Amino acid sequence: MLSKVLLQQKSRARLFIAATGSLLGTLLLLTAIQLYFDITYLFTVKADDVISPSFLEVNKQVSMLNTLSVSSSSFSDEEIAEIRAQKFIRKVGVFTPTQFSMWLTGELSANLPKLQTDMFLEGLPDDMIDVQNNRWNWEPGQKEIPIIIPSYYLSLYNFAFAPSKGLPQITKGTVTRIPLTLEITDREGHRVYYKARVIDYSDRINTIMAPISFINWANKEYGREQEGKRPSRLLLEVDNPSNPRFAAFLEAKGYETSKDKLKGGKQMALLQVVLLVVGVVGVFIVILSVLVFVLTFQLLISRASEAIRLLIQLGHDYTTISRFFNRYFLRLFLGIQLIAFALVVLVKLLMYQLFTENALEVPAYPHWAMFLWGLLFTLAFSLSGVRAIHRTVRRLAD
Amino acid sequence: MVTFNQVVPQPLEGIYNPQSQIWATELAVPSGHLVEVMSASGKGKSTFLQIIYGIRKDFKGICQVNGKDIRHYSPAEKAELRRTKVSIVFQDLRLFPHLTGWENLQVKNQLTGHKTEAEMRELTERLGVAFLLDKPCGIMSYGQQQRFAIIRALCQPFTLLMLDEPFSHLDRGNIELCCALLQEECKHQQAGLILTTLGESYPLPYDTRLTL
Repeated sequence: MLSKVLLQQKSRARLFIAATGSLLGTLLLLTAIQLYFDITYLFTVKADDVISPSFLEVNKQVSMLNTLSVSSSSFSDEEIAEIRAQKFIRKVGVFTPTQFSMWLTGELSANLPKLQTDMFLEGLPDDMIDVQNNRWNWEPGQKEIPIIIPSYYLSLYNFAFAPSKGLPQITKGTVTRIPLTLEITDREGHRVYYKARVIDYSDRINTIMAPISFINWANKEYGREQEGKRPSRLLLEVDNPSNPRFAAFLEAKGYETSKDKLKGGKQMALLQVVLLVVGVVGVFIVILSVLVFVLTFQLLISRASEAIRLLIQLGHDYTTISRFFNRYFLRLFLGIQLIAFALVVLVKLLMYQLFTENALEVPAYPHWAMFLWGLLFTLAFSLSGVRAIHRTVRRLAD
Repeated sequence: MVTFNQVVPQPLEGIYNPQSQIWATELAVPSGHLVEVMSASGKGKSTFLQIIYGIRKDFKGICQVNGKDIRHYSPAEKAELRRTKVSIVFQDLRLFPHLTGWENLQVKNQLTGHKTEAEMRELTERLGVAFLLDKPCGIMSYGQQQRFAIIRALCQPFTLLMLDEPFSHLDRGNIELCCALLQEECKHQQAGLILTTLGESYPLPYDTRLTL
């Protein structure tokens, strides 16, 4: 009977339009939140990236003073310990240099020039190396030393050096078949010869590596203490290279890293600003759309105000009437929210397809926190709507 | 029990009848009394009833209903008063025009649960409007609507029944039917009654007659 009296003036068309607006607004907000989580995910978890941005090489800035040997560009134990202590750094790998000089020769074939070069080698802890190869080990007495080189060295040769010199291009496999000879000069100036072979390529590490076991053994055997004793480069594994605190730490300490990998941080910051703006606009649209919905309800109530007054004069409690409107409001509003939640799952699926088509890997399912935020908004808007309706009816009771 | 102490409605200030037995004087309407209020139009008959009913607040002085200043009733207390103590037939009836006669009675009775459906039907039969139960009130004659308004007022418990010129569009025969019914209901509920009229006298055993 109450609904017959109170909803006699309701306009279905107006309610429908207001409800559609509210639905779209909520959907936009939820989509913006979900997009935020997707993009954050893209920038923090790059599981399959070949060049993982979570490994960064760090060295000290080289200045005139280093060149003049007044100050050192190598890291002290205290400095390494300090870096290790930072929360955003997971692991620190020390590049161990060789403390003796050496010479590398190799002969590809009879009709190619003999390769001959001054040489250096560095060692890194095995767990920091991105290459899985069962030949990557060395034990004292072993005659052949396995070597890993950065893959871009080969690219440099194939695409820059070889074409300009009219030399044939070579494959990764070819290089691994070239027998090399390592000529080491020991403390007394004697020459020692070792066989060597490039066994693999690294995308992560920007140096020529031999197994750490060989470097340590050879330093002890042939090394002169004064030469390159301390490490001057470190390999860091970081949780998130886009973390601004990480960049700030490097800057404060005067450490350098390849800027490119930190660029992700800037892009992330830019995207976060853009998303923030979209989010703020989204919040405004949602507030407006919900406001329209609430105002539609207030119009409904004010159109029924004569009936409400009369019901109150006949002895109805105004709270009964405001409860009636609130039930009606909540049924519609929560229904709209439910549809919006269902639709955002669909939108997420479409976004997932779009991301995947563009080779961006994001989770296929909506983020739980998106639902949590959505629920918070729903709760806040339900409460404010209920309060507004209650006050409007209360005003008619006097 | 209703008492008025120096009550003057603002629109009547300075122009009310100095001989008035209600305005700017002391008045007590004891429980169970049948009261007739008679005056020409514009003297404040409706205002008098609406002050007691708690609808109007634009007056000076103090009006107490059941020992409490009517201005101090909270909305919930007023609702309770209107459901269980004081019933009214408005001069303009205030029926819902788009609801049928039956639905208009139900709006009240569903709130109070005072009458059974059979009793309500019987009341409409007694006042000769049973055939209109399924018709919207908006298309009834004013006299028919007056009878529905009276029946609606009876669909609740009360200690005071107030009627504002309730028979203005009724013929003598119907007035007699209504008066008999009202008298019976008041007696049954041991309730008082205040009825306003422009001058016509109705067959009711009044205890008091007041002029405005």
